[in-house]
Amino acid sequence: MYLTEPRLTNIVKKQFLHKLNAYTGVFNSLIVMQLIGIFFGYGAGSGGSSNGGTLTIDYRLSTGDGPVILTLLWAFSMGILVTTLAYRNDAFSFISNRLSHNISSILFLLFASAIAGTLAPLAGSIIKFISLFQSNPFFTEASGLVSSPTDFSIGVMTSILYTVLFASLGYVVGSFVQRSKFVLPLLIAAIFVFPLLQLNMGGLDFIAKIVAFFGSETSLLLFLMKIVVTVSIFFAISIRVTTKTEVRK
Amino acid sequence: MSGLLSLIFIALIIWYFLQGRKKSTRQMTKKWTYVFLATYAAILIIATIAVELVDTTSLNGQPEAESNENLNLITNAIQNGDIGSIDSSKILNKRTQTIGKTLQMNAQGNDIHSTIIVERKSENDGLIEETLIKPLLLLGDYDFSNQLNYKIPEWTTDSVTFLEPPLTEITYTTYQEAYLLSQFTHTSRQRNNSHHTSERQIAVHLLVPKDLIITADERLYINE
Repeated sequence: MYLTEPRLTNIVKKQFLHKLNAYTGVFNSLIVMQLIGIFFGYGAGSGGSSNGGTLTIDYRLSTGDGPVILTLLWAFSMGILVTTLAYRNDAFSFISNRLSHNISSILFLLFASAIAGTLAPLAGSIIKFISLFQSNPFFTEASGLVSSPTDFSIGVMTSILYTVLFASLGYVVGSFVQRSKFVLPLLIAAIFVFPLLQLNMGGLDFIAKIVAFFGSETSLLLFLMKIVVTVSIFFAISIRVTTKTEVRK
Repeated sequence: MSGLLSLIFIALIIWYFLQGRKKSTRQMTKKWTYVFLATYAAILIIATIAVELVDTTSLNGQPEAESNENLNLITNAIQNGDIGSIDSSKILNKRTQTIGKTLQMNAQGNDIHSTIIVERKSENDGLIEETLIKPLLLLGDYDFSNQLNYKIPEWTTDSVTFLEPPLTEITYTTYQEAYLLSQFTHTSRQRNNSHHTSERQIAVHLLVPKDLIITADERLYINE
C-alpha cells in the first residue's frame, strides 16, 4: 500500500515519452538506411541497351524499392533492438513492470514504424528527382501526391502496415532471443533451412504461402485486418514470452 | 558508374559512424536527431511535390502509344494496300512520278527496312502514285515515332533509290514505384515487359502502271 498508487496508463505514458527521448538512435539509423536505399534505388536500377541496325535504345529503370526494402529491414532490426538488454534495463529507471515496459515498447515501435512507413514512399521521390534531371525523356509509373492523392495515400498506408508487420516480427524474434540464447542459432538455421526444405502446404511452399497471404491480398481492408491480427498475435506472444523474464536480467 | 558511387557513399557512411564511435564528442544529441529527422522529412516532402510539378510537363512531351487495335489496323491497311483507310495524320507525303516502261528499284546501304508495297493499276497511264506512311517507334507505353530518323526514297528518271536511315539514338529513364506500394493501387507495374519495342520504318506504297517492268535490288523486301 502506497500513498500514490501508480496507474498503468501513467507509467506507460511516462515510459513511452522516455523512450522517444532515449531511443533517438533508431531514427538516426532510419535516415542512414533510407539514404542507402535511395542510392541503391537510383544506382542499382536495372537498365539495358538494344541495338538494331540504325536504331540504338538505352534505357534505365530506377525504382522506389530500395528505400522501402531497407526501411523494412530497419523495422525488423529495430524490433529486435528494443528487446535487447541495454534497452530493457533503460526502461527500469522508472517504476515499472514487465507489462508496462512491453506496452510502451510496442507503442514506441508503432510510432517509429508510422514515421518510417510514411518516409519510405517519400524517399522514392528523391530517386525520381535525380532521375528526372539526369535523363530526358523521363517517364514515371508511380502514384503522385498531387496527380493521384488517393493512390499515394494508399501507398503510404501500405508502407506503414508492412513496416509495423516487420517491426512486430522483429520484436517477437527479439523476445524469444532474450528468453533463451538457443533461439538465435535455431532462428538462423531456420532462415537458411526453411527455403531449402520447401515445406509444402497445399501446393505452395511454406515461405511462398506466407508471402502470398499478405502480398496477394487485393483488398486494403482485408490486408489491414490481416496485419492487425498478425501484429496482435506477435505482440501477445512477445508479452507472454517476456513476462517471466527477470526485471534486470 | 552510379553503382560505384553508391558503394563509395555507403563506405563513407560506415566510416563516419566508425569514427563517431571512437570519439564521444561526435555523438549526436537527442535534440539534433529530431532536427535532422524533421529536416529530412521536409526535404522528402518538398522533393515529392517538386518532382510532380516538373514531371507533368515532361510527361506531356512524349505521347502515349496508341492502342494495339489501332496499330494493327494501320499495319493491315499497309499490307493490304488499303491506303485510303489510313488516317491522314499517319501519311508523311504523297507524290506522283512520271515513268516509262521500266522501273529500277535500288538500295543504298544494308539496313533498309522500309516496307515497300507495289500495287498495279488497271491501266498504263505512265504515272506512279507514291504514298509515304510515317515511321513508327513505340517504347513500352510511349510513342517515340517523332524521334525516329528516316530518309525518303530518291527518284530519278525510271529509277528509285531507297536509302539507309540515319542512326537514331534514344536514351530514356523510367521510374517505377516500389513494388509493395503498388499492391492496392492501379499504377502499372510491368517491369521488363514495359520495355518492349515496336519499330517500323517508313512504308512506301507505289501504285504503278499495269504493265510496268520492275527490277529490284535483292536487299529490298517488296510486297507485290
